[in-house]
Parts: sequence; C-alpha cells; structure tokens
Amino acid sequence: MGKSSIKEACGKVVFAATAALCIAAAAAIFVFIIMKSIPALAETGLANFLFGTEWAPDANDVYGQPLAGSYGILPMLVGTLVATVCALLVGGTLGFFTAVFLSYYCKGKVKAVFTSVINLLAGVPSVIFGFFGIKVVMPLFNMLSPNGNSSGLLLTSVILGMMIFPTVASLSKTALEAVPQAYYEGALALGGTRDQAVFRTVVPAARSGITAAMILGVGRALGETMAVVMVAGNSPQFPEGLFSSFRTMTANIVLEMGYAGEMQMGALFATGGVLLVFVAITVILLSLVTSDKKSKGRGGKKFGFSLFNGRKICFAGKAFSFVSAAFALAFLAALIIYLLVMGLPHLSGQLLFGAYEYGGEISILPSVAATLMTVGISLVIALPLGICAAIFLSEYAGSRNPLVRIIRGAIDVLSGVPSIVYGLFGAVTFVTLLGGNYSIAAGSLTISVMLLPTVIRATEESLRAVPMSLREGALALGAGKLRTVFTVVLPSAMPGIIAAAILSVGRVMSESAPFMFTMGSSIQPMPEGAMSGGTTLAVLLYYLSGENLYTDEAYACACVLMLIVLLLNIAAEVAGRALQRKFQGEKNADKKSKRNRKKVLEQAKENG
Amino acid sequence: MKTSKKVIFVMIALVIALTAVLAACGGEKDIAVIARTSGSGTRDAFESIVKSEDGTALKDAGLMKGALEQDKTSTVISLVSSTETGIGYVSLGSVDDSVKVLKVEGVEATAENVLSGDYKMQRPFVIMTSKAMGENLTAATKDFLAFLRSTQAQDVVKEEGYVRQDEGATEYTAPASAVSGTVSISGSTSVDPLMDKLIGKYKEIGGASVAGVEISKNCQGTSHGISAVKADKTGNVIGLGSSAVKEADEAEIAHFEIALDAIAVIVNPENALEDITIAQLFDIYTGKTVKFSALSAA
Repeated sequence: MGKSSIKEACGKVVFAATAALCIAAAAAIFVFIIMKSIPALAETGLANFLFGTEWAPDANDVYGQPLAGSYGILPMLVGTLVATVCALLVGGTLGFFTAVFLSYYCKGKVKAVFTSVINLLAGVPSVIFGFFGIKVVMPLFNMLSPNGNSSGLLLTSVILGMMIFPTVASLSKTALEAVPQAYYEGALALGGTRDQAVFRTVVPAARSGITAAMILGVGRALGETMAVVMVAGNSPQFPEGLFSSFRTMTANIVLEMGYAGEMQMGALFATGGVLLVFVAITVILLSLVTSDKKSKGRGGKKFGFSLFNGRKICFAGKAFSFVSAAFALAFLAALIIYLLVMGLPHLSGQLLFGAYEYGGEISILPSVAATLMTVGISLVIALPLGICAAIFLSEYAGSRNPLVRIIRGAIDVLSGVPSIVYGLFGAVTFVTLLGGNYSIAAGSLTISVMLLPTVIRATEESLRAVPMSLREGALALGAGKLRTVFTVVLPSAMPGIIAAAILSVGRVMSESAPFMFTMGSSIQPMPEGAMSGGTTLAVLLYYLSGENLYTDEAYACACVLMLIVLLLNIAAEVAGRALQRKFQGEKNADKKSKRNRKKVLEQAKENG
Repeated sequence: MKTSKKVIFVMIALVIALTAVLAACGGEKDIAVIARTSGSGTRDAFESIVKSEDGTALKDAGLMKGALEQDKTSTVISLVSSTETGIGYVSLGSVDDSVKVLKVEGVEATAENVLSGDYKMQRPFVIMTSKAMGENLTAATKDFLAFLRSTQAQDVVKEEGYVRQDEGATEYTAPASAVSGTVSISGSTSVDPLMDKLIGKYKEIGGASVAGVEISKNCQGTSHGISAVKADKTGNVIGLGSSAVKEADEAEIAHFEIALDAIAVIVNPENALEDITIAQLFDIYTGKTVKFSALSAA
C-alpha cells in the first residue's frame, strides 16, 4: 500500500509540476517584455505612449536625449481591437456553425472529409493566406473601394477570420461532441425537433468549450502578423472605414523591428507589452463571463444562445451551419486550386531534391529537413508536457482551487501571446542559452512553448469528454488513480489528443515569425544537426517571396508545404484509427448499442 | 437537404446581384498610393530624391496619411499588379511583367541612363565594415572583401541587372594558401539576392583555397546591418546597405559602393500613364493629387 501511495503522490507532483511550468513560461515572457519596454516608456510617459495619436519614430533617437520622433500607439491599439472583433465575427460564426454541422448534421464520409478540410486549413501558412488575400480576394473587393484598393479593415477581417476559423471549428466540435448523447436524446424525447435539440440543449451544454475555442481564436487573431501585414495597408492611422488602411500592433513590431534604433526598439517592445496586457484582459473578461454562467446553473435561458428558441430560428441555424460548411469547403478548394495552378508548373527535380549552394539554383530540400526536425523536436517536448498538464487540470485539480484558476489563466494568456513576441522571447532566452547562434534547437524550443496552450486545451477538452463512469468503474475495480488515468482515461481520449497533435504540427508548419529570430531567415545549406541553423518551409516561402525574384519557386514551395500537411493529416488519422482499435476493444459492442439506440429513435420520430 | 439547397441558391443569387450592382457603379477611383515602411533603405532613398517644385524633400513634407505601407518589395509589386489605380516604387532589379515601369522626367529606367545620371531615381548598394577593426579583420573576411572589390564581382553585378561600379576594381585571384573562418553578413534585403550570387561566384573562383570560409547571411534591413557593423568585435562582420552611408556614421564605418540600383516607379499595366515628373510624384505621395486624370490634365 505504502509503495503505491508514494507512486500516486509522485504522479500527482509530476503532473502539477508540468502545469506549473506553464505559469513559469507565461511569467518569463511577461518579465522579459516588461524589462525591455520600461526604458522607452520612461522616456515617453505611459499616457503619451498609450494615447498618443501619432506614430512617427526616428531611428536615431536614443534613451536620455530629447526625442525627434513621436511614439503614440492609440491608432494601432484601436486598429488591433477592431480587426480582432471583426475577424471573430467572421471566423467565430463560421467556425461555430461548421462545428455544429460536423457534429450533428453529417456523418460517415462527409464528416471525415470536412474534418480533414479543417485540419488542413489549420496548416495553411500565414504567408499563403496573405498572398491569397492579395491575389484572389483583393481584386474582388477592389471595385468596392473608393481608391480602387481594398487593403484595410474588410479584407483583413475576412482573411483573419478564415485563419481563425479552423481553430474555432475544431475545438467547438470537440466540445459539442463531449456533450453526453443523453442530453440530445432527452430533448428529442420531450418533443423537440432535432434542430431544437441541437441548438437549445447541446449547444448551451457545450458553451464552456465553445467559449474556450473562441478565446483561442481571439488569441490567434491578436497574434497574427504576416498575413495582416500583407492586407491591412499598414499606415499608422485609425481605421476610418471598411477600406481604410490601418496598422495592427503586431504588424508594427514586425514592420519596424529590422530597422529600429535604440528608442524605437524599446517602443516596439512596449507595443508587445501592451499587446500582452490586452491579451490578459481579454482572457480574464472571457473567463469571468463563463464562470458567471456556470454559477447560475445549467437551467434557464443563456445569453447568446437564447437567440435559438423557436423552431424556425433553430431551423435557420441548421441552414446556416450547412452554408458555413459549404463556404469552408469552397474556400479551401479555391486556395488549393490556386496554389496548384501557381505552384505545380514550377516543381522541378532541382527545386525538390537538388543540393543548394549560395548563388546556385534554389532547392527546398534543406528546408524540408529543417522543418521536419523542428516538428519532431517540438512535438517531443510539447506533447508530453502539454498532456501531463492537461491530466493535472482535468483529473487532479478541483475546479475551485485558486491555483488551478491561475494555471488556466496562464494557459489562456500563453495562447494569446503573439507569435512575433514568442520569437523575440526565444531570441533572448533560448538562443542565448544555446551559445548565441541561431539554431534549429532554439527554434524548436521557442515553438514548443508556443504549442503548449493548444495541446493543453485540446487534450483537456477530450479528457473531460471521457464519461465519469469509466473512471468510477476502474477505481471500483481497485485500480489506483495513475493506473486509471493511463489505462482507461487516456486511451479513451486518444482521438482528441491526436487532434491536438495534428493542430500542433499544422502550427509549426505555418508559423514563420517565431523562427526568423531564432533559426535564421535566409536560404541555408543542409542542416548538420539540431545545433546548426535552418529555415523552415514557411520561412523559406516568406524569404523567397521577399524580393519578387523567386515568386514561382515560392508557389512551388507552398505547394510542397500543403502536400506535407496533407500527408501528415492522413498519417495522423490512420494512426488515430489504429490506436482507437487497439485500445477500445469494447468499442464495437458500444457502437452496436449506439446504432440500435439511433434506430429506435428514428423510428420513434417517424411515428411521432 | 432540399431546404439547404434552396438556401445555397439564394446566397449565390445574392452574391451575383451584389456583384452586378457594384460593377455598374463606375467613376474614376482615387490613386492608391503604395510606399515602403519607414526605415527601409528604398523608402529613404525615394523620399530624399522626390522633391516639390520649390525644393522641399518628401522626407521633410511627410508621407500622406492613408498610404499603404509595405515591408517588402514583393508585396508592393503584388499590390500594384492587383490595383488598377495603384502606384509604387521598387528596386529595378526586382520588377517583373505584372507591373509597368514609368519613365521619370521622360527618361527610361535603364542601366545606361542610371550610369549617365540621366535617370534621377537611383541609389548605391554599399558594402560596410567596422572602422575600429581596421586592419584587424579576419583573413577570411579580408579575402571575401577582396573578391567583392574585384572585376569578377562586377561581372556578377552586371549579369544581375544592376549598374556596375568599376572604379578601383582589380582582378581577384584565389589566395595561395587556404584561408578559413566564418564571415557574418547582415543588412539590406534589397542587396540580399545580389549577395547570394556573389557568394556563389566567390566559392566558384576561390575553389579549394576558400572551401574553409563559412559565410552566414541574415538580412533584415539596412539599419540592422549598420548596427551589426558598429558592434563588430570579432572582425568578421560585413554590412549591406541600400542607401548612401550617413555622415553621422562615417566615423565608425568603412564602406565602398558595389553597385548602383535604379528605383523604378511602377503602375498597373492597365494604366495609360507612361511618364511622370518628380514634382508630380511629390504631389501624389503627399496626397495633393488624388486622381490620375489630374496628371494628364495638367
């Protein structure tokens, strides 16, 4: 007995420690950004910085001398806020309704196809979204704009919305599917239509998961840089209309970092700091909203969801979920066709497999190697840590524990930290720790920290989806808590964990900002190991399109990137199915009983 | 399923109707002014050259509010090629078929006109090293610099479509005994593609005797290159600049020009405009002229 209780205690400590690590990471990022921004804030004064309406930095400004430039970020602060809200309107709505469609209005092959579509969209690099925005969406919008160019709020919202859409859809779907089948059946039994059962019963029951999905979506929108830079227009002024050029705070950092002088650099760090505070406030507000509802209990009308009351409105919800799903499919099809048409003709043996030397013809082989190494290392680091933290949150921590609330907050904040800020953080911490040189190891460590919130959130949701009765059963049979977790809970949650892994791979593939300051950003020869520098495919893509000399190669590179994401998706899905079969021997029996139940239900419906 | 099909049809019909309405409302659009972000070497050079009739530089007058600011040459070209009323400026070496290059003051942007000085919109590509390190640069760095000053390097410059700066160029021969070491290059993104070709040529000519020279390159902007050179403590940093070195930096930076580059003013191929004056550019970039028709009327 003594031995096993020690084991249990050790397990608990390990899980708690990994969860605590997340707080440490969040704290480190905050400390680092604040330290770097204080001198600049002292120079301008906090109020002038926050509420100044003119941003006209002078690269020659240094600390302790009169400033020649002006450093007010209010226009960009407002721009970021407005763009995020608009993107959430587009991407959140589409994502939510598509998740409903996926969970309740389709099955079998259609469902499998749509799920892959969403995973695939999550892996599309920002740079591609930006280019697609400029080349395909912008010409469509241009005729609406008074100056014939639609760079600005509307275009940014649409592109950004499509970028956060897969995050929202995928996580909302997990949340919706976690609602016990009995809720749905109960609603039908009480005489509701299927639509009413979905929108009045299942959706409200899944609202905490859906809110979490929205939080991550907001995080992605706030943190997005590369695509926004391409479509927002970037003049540092207030967004004055749908077609007015504006600049977000992340764009400000990435646009000026390379050129910045001492004072300007400090002001950019301070911009990052404001962004962090912004993220923290959003997270706290949203978590307050969700916990407030929880305390009122599950009954009664809920704000937001009370819209879906009458039969007709629920039916409209259903119709809209079909439209959303169709739109998602059309968008992805357009994106892929565009990439194939632009990229395939330029795929050549040299480009794919050739050796690269400076000045020679371009080859993407070194980048493919660097990308796969980064994916491998970061998953090995982020998945175990993330899963352990999720286990702590879901299996060990009481939801009232204040420490747990802090950890949750830290995770949400981490998810909102803009990728460019992670990059700067990695450049100062990991790069310095590893000897001051750009390396694949430093890039992988940086992106690992960035992956944690995605992994934790997705894993936690799927752990929560495991019925309590399974745990109770295992415990009743005399299994310890650790054993219950590892042999019963984790295997049942495997599909969700695999979804988390896929999302992570997609994220590593599509990010570029965190790598530019940690791994290097120009074309490099074959990496010799984890300590040599490298360029991931997405960064290479950004670089290749940089001076417009290699646009064709860039599209070919984008093509390859999409193919790799596609292959990874298929592999993950196959692995997921195999695992499920292995771990859930009882599944067939379960399926049969479910099928029977469904049949009975349908008969009952036809009769009634 | 049937009802959902109906809904989809209605949506499609709406989109088509909306497009038709919008296509119907014509009228001349305003000029979409496209610039680079502040700190870009190209913008710095452009805003110093473009002056009003009374001699005020665009740099001092300030860019109009609401101009589209891009951090990369490629996005400037993309925007101009997708916007009928767009106007922008980029390095001549980067221009492709998707945009039209305007004559400036009646002079075409060609290598000859840049060299003769007839084409006004031009700036140098500069190679920078630390003055403080002086003769203490590493052997590998010195050897690479010798190549950069060579006639062979100038051949590459010409091949890549830039204007050669032959003055003082000598022939480069590979060192008798092998050199090795790391050379760290940073700076202008505009010079970056040219530098790629130069490194390739260097490795080719130098052969076995420079096989041990490892060149690492990371370009994030001219100012980045300037600060890297100033901070050089190891004698192996080379900076790339895409505008003339400022007087304030002369004390710390040794430099030479490797090439001249023209800044091309680009418009959409649909645009009927062929020629533009520097004063007109000033008016457009300060927001005084808002329509292309105003240019041809004047």
